[in-house]
Order: sequence, then structure tokens, then C-alpha cells
Amino acid sequence: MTLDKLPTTIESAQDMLCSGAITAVELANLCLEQIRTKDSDIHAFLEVYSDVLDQAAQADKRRADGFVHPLLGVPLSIKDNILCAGHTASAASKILENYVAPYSSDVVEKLQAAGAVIIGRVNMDEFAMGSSCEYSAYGPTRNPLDLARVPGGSSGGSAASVAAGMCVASIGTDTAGSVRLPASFCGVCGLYPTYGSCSRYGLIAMGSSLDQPGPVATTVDDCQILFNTLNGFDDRDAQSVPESSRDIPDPQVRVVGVPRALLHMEGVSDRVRSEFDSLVTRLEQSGYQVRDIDLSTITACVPVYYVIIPAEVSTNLSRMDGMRFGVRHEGTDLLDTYMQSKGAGFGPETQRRMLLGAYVLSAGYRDAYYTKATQVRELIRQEIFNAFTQCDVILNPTTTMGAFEIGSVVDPVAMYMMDIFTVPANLSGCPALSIPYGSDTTGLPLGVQVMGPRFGEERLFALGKVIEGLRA
Amino acid sequence: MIDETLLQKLSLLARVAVDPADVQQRLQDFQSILGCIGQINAVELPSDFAIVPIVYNHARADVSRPASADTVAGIINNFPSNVLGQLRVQQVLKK
Repeated sequence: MTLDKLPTTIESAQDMLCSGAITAVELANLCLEQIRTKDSDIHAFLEVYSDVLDQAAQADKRRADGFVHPLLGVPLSIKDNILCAGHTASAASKILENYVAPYSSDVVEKLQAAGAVIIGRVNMDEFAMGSSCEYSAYGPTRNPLDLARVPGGSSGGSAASVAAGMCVASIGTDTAGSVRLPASFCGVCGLYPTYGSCSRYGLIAMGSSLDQPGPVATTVDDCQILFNTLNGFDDRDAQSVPESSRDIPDPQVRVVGVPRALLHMEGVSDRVRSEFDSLVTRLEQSGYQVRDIDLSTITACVPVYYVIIPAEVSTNLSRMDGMRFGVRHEGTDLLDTYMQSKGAGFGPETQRRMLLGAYVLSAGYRDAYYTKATQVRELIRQEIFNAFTQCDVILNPTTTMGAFEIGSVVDPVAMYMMDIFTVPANLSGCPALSIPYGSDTTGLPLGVQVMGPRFGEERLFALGKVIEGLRA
Repeated sequence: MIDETLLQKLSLLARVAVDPADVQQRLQDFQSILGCIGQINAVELPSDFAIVPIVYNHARADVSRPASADTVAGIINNFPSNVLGQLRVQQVLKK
């Protein structure tokens, strides 16, 4: 079979591979050709691994030996903060430009066990701090649907590589919406799994109480396949929840909660509101009960997050000092070496958050900021958990607007407010799925987000597939 | 308020050298961000709210303060059992 573009779903790729219409090596070669053709304009990939064809050949051999898995032979990309042994992982930062991972993350171990072909590492905002993929030390990634616009972040490379057809799916990481927001901007699906469901072992840490690896794919079905592959207890992640401790809710969705007051917040575009309202109407016509729910503390989510995350970042990035690994700039003494290395190695947003983290954790400010933020976070969690006694899922837009032009948002607070709809899931540890629905006034995609109770991913997939079916 | 003196102290604390050319922009950004995060002060906590923050440090959760019996009860009551794995509860109880 001669193909001029990649199959767009894991299922269609697997059908072709199983039927013998194409081999994994041929599929990988097609992937590499797509990258050669398109990526000079998009800049999704920071590195295409040199062993891609070897991986594909190995997948073909495993298939011939009788191994079966939905991901066998399927080409995927991984975000640049996911460790793959023997390969560079730079978190899109200069300070790690020479860092070669000495071990593989649990994500990569599971993908390799499944026989997936990992094409390479894709671009991101430096250390996952950003919502646009403009903060990479290696240059921005562009939205494949409009090269003048951002793909979203921080997993912008993941979303762009999938949307452009350069790979079938990708694994990103999500701390405040970093999988879901770029998925929405690029017209694909993205999942933030329940915190504690998928292992963070081998992810370059940003916010340890919020991070999860998350799939980016063209369909809800594909997100489900990837989640099922990554999901599971790992004792190398101290926050990983054993299966015996997981209270898994029933997968039925009958009542959809909508926090209508949030839709009228400043910054939410009229188009986002109207497209969302059209979906709600169609869900009601399909037999779902839609209930208005009160989530008043959600307006505090962004301030809470931007106290907690700099605090955790200042801790997690303190190890990036150029001593044991990474780039070192020699100074006049040890302290000066630390400061020169970090000053030269970190970009402006990373520096901003490290300084802010030092501030909110310092004596005299810690109680007012960090302690108060963790307490307000608990209020937010309680309100969200309580909301799930009134509804089965919570539905809202993924973003306040469609993809914006590169360089058009320079105020850090304006960038932070992009997370308003996505960060509640991270603060509460609840799973949330973004599905493309509707378009903005320029024709670029918008997304809607379905959030469920903890370990309630099956509810997200169930309603997500319905929403896919309701798209015009 | 953040001024240059405080910014210099934070720079030392975080061990991040701030380019002198960037100082004014840093201060401006900080003021803007503090205006955003300061909104948490407006959130009132219930009078019976007793939660001790758990500090996460590189995939390890440690109770940030010595835990009294009341605090332990507060932690267990305010965190779902499926967030606190068995190991964490044991750590809390040992304190």
C-alpha cells in the first residue's frame, strides 16, 4: 500500500498493520517523511531519534512472533521532559541541553513494552512553564492550522505533532492544563488523568502535587487506549495510588454539571460562550440532564495555583545547578557558579517563577501566601468533590479563546489567566478531558472540557465520544 | 511591595542571577503577579477549618509541621483515603 499521509488514529494504524497492508517500518518511514516535509515550518520536534527504524523493525518482529497490543508499531512522540534512556531530555531549557537520561520514565517503559515506536522528543515551554509554547529555549512551535499562531502550551509540540500528522499520538505532561489547552488550540483531544493514576517516575518534575503525564491524540478512543496503557500503580512514584485504594465511580453519565457563572467571567470570548451553549443544547436534546452548579471558589484557582506552583518549582528546580548534570557556567566561587549557571541556563519565565517561589516560601510571607494558598486549595477541592454529588461530570470550555498570535500575549498575568478553566482539575486531582468542539471567529478550533470525579476517566471517555458524535 | 533590595535577596535565595538590565521588568512583572495572587487573601476560611499543608518535595510527601493528634485527625478527615496512600497515613501516625 502506498500512503501519502499517516493514518490519523491508533485504530486505523493498527488495522493497517494487522492486515499487513503496511509494516511498522513503512509507517515509521512515512512518519519521518512527514516530519521532513512539515516540521521546518512548525518546529514541533527538537530531536528525531536515530533508532526509529530499528524500533519499527523490532515491532514488526514482535508482531510476527504473535505479540498483540493496540500500540504495537504505532509512531508516537514524547514531550521533552519525559526521560528516555540514552536520549537527551532538556525540558526545552539551555540548562539541560547536554543532559542524557540515564534511565527511562515509567511512561517510556510502558510504551516500549507495548511496542510503540517513539519517534522523538517534541518542543514545550521551558520546564513546562507556559501556555503557548513560546517560552522554549529552542524557539517557539507554530500551530499547524495557522503558522502565525501558537499551538498552546506547555505541551505545544505534542499537540502540533499530532495535529500536523507527523505522528499518530503523543504523550505530554499536564500541571495546569498543559495537555488540554494545546489540544484545544490544535483541534485534537487531550487528557489529564487522575492525579496518582499514572506514574510521574522519570518526568522532569515541575509541580509535584499536580503533574501527570497525559495523552494527546485525534480521538477520544485513542486517548483511552493510551491512558489504559499508562495507567497503574508504580511504587517509584510516592504519590501513585495502589489499585486497591482507588474508588472507581460507575461510568454512567446522566447529569452534566455546568458552572454557568464562570462563562461570564472577564476574558471569556463571546464565541466560546456561544459554541459552548450550542453543545449544551445538543446534549439536552440527546437526553442528558444539564444542571447549573455553583463553583464560586474556582475564581481563586489561578491565584492559588500561582502561589503553589512557584513554590514547588523553586524546590524542584533547585537541583538544576550545573554541578552533577546540566550546563555549568563557572563563577568566582561556588555561590557565583550556581547563580551564573542558573542565570544563563534558565529563561525569563522560569526565573520569574523561581524568584516568586522563593518569595512565597520565605519567612514573613509563607503563612500569608503558601500556607493560605494550600488551605484555599483544600476549599476548592471540597467544592469540586461536593459538586460531583449533584452531577456525574462537569462541563465547561477548555479555554477562554482560540489560539492567539505568536508574540501577542506578553503580560505574564494575562498568560496565567489562560488556565482558568483547566487548573481546577489539577488542584483537585480530578481527571479532565478536552475534546474539539466548535471554532472561533477565524475558523480555528475550540475545545470543551469534561471533568469527572477522581478515577472517573470512563465517564470522560463516555461523554467525550458522545460529544464527538454531536460535532457538525 | 517588591523593591530592588528584596529582589536581590530573592535572587540570592533562589541562586538565580538577575541580569541588571532586566531588574525593572522583573519588578514590574512581580507587582502584576502579586496583584493576582494577593486575591487569595479575600477568601475566607471556615472557622472550623483545620488543615495542615502537606509539602510535596520530589515525589515525597512530608507533613510540614509536627503533627498533634488533632492535626492528624484533620489531615485524615480532610484528605480522601485514596489520596493518602497507606504509607503516607503511617508516616503521619508515626509523628
